[in-house]
Amino acid sequence: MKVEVQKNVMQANNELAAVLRDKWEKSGTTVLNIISSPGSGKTTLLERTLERLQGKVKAGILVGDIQTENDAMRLSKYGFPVKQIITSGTCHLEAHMIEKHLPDVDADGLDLLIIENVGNLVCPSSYDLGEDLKVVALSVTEGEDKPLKYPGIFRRAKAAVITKVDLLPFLDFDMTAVREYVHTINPDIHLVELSSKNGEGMDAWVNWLLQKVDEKKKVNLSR
Amino acid sequence: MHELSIADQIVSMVELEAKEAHAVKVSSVTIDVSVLMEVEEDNLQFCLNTLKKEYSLTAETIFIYREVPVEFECLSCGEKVIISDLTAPVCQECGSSSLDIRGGDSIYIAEMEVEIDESRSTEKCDAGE
Repeated sequence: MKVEVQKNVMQANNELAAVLRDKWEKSGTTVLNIISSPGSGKTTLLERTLERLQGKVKAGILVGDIQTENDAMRLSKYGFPVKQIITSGTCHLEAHMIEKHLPDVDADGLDLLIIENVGNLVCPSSYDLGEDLKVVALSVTEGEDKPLKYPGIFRRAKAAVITKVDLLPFLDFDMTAVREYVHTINPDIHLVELSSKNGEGMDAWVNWLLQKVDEKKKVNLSR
Repeated sequence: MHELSIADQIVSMVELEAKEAHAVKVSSVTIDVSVLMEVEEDNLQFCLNTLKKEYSLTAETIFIYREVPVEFECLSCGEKVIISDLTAPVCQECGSSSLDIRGGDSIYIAEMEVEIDESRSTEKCDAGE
């Protein structure tokens, strides 16, 4: 006998993500889900970002890794609550992990929650965490055709951050090509080019972030 | 390797659906996989065929894999756009590449073929063949 099912396999995760999104809608919290391959400089980018956010917003950070508390130790130096999520092998964060660890960083409502996903350009892109913005990071040492090779995340992301641009003089990385590839996959994506090392482009990135936080708060206050 | 998490979810959902339909065995399951999921078919099949043995009704299930395109809405002309090749997504009507995802972006259990315990299934079977 044939049975029609027509059910979304990601349903359980999506339902929980919707609960989280609703909660953050009410609290006016902007939530970022940062995704990239390992070694693209996510954590360094966040360190330099948190430095610039001090005194400006109430932020919290959840950071996913397969092993070690290393990233949480690095990120906890800036006066914001940080919690490491150790996935013990799972290649991505899921909504239930966020729900479980959220109370550790979100005691009385945040302006901004930053989720640093497990380093992986494929798997995390399919798991909704209830975020407002998926942000994909790509370093100039990785090759400019990554957007074409991993269209899923570049399609779903609201912003793409090209990191380590201070290394451009030493590489054959084609910046014009990467801009074109990113926009071929997703013409509406917000593209940022920066160096966490020498600070180039950092102000524009942080201002964009603060603008997003402001926008969500305003929507929240006007309700 | 998100295939393992996905396979785990699929097999447990199939087992539940099959129990609700009073099935005694699931012969086959058709799975629709969005190209946006970036799932590797062989990898998913391997995970499914490993995990299915953990459940009573799926031990011998054959999984049929179908790739499905993504549904977009064109933000320029409002047309519904169906796309399989994500490397160059454009609206077939107006040529705009400003598109928003509307569906076909996940993995779906489409249907399954089951063997029913006739003695236990009464009204449920009427809707069947």
